[in-house]
Amino acid sequence: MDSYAKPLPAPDEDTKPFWDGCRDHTLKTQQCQACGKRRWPPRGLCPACHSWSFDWVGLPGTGTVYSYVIVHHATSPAFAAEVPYTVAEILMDSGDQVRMTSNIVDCPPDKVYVGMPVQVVFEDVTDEITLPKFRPA
Amino acid sequence: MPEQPIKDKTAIAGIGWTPFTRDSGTSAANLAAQACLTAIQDAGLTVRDIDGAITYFHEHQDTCAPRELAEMIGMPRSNFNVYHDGGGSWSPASVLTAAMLVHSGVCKNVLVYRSKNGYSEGRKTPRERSSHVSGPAQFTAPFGTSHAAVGIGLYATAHMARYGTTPVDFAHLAVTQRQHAMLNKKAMMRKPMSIEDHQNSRWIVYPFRLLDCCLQTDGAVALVVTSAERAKDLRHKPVYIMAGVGGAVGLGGRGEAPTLLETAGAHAAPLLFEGAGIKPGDVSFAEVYDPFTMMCMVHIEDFGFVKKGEIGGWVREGHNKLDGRLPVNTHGGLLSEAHIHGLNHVIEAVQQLRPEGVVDDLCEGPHSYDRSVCRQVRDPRIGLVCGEGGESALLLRRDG
Repeated sequence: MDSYAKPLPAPDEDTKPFWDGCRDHTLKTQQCQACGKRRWPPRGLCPACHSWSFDWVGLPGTGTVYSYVIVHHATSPAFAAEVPYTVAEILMDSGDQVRMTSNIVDCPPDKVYVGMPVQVVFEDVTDEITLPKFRPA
Repeated sequence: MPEQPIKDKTAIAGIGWTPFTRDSGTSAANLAAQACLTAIQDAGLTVRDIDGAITYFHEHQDTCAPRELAEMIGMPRSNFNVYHDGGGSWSPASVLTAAMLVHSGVCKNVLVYRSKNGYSEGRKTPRERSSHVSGPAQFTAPFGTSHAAVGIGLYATAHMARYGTTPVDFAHLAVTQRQHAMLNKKAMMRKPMSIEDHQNSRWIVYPFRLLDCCLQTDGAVALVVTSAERAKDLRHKPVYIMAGVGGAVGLGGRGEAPTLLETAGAHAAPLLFEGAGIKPGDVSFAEVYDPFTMMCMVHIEDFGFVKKGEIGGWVREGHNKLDGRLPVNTHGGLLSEAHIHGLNHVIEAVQQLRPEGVVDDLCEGPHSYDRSVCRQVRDPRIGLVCGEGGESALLLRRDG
């Protein structure tokens, strides 16, 4: 796992609980204590009501493909062996427009479509970092 | 919203550019100095008249900073410099900033420039990419999103799914812009392109093929903004700055945009048109940021020139051609002229709006409007320039 060559997230004060959750194979986001809105990506305050109080809440782990692309031309050697691969925006089944960017795995790229139901699958890429990816539901 | 107090109070008085190449053989700083001196001379001014300088970059400081430029060309002073990180979204905003500096009285004559070795630099010294990614990119980069076509391709796929837009529609836009570039002596791509050429080009990032993607360029462009009053006494007829917007929130926060069917241009457009006191139908032509075919197409919708969802048919019918309803990217754009981060779009708009028209098409003598040689738009009055994501935009008008 030490040889993992692709970019890795650098968790910070706002994002560490999300990445810790992924390492435990749970998907979480922030929910504002004041207005109840769920938000993505993690930040210190609610963009809707400016409250700094929030809870980490679980996400269902399912969603639909909002849009996608298929990368054929890798811009870094780390991804060269992967092409063609799919990058998608996943609209989570959580309400409040939580939309994550990830890869669609276990599915040929030409079978991906807008509106496709997907569910999260966790890839432990290093001892510290687990990436949430999605496969057809 | 009322008209902007700045309306018609400032003008673009001079323009300049270097050759657009794949290997300039010189530094971005030297390219900047060359384009700036040309623009100053074109305005009929001297370096001593310039008292402000503005440029921009994106993520990577690949240009010549204003302080460096000032020393290179011997500016005796500068009252205000701006060195902005807004990239292509900021190209029209750089000109609006100059107009605000002049209108406020802080500066009299402001240089705006963009210089880069966009083709050769990355090939000579590949850019280091950090293995650990912080900020919002920590939620995208690990999934292999670094190609610019990924973020914009997501908009394109969403538009295709919702409105039935197709890659053949993209091809029509690319071919039309190539036809414009073939009438532009400084354009990098002047070989004919057919719909089949486009459709046979290799995939880069679906839904974009190679011929959906912009060029990479070594080169620079520059312009001089001054007051409307001073501009009247200079070498060229002024091209007036009617109105601008510069800070709409858009592409940067893709995951937070409520939809990928429109860009920040949809929010910028009413401010822009009300600021100038005109309507989209008053615009004679548009120079529209086009890093990829479909982004240009979404911008045309978002600025109100075409009903949302109908851009595919509109480009197939050729309404973006030089004699169409709204000529778009009359120089060939980022796709076929050059990638000078959108400031080349402003240069083209100024050329189109001067009484003599463009100086670097294939016409010998007066403009003939014969589309085998001439790229001058007929009788243009007002031109729109928009930056990436419609986050900034300008309306320019001719004198008289």
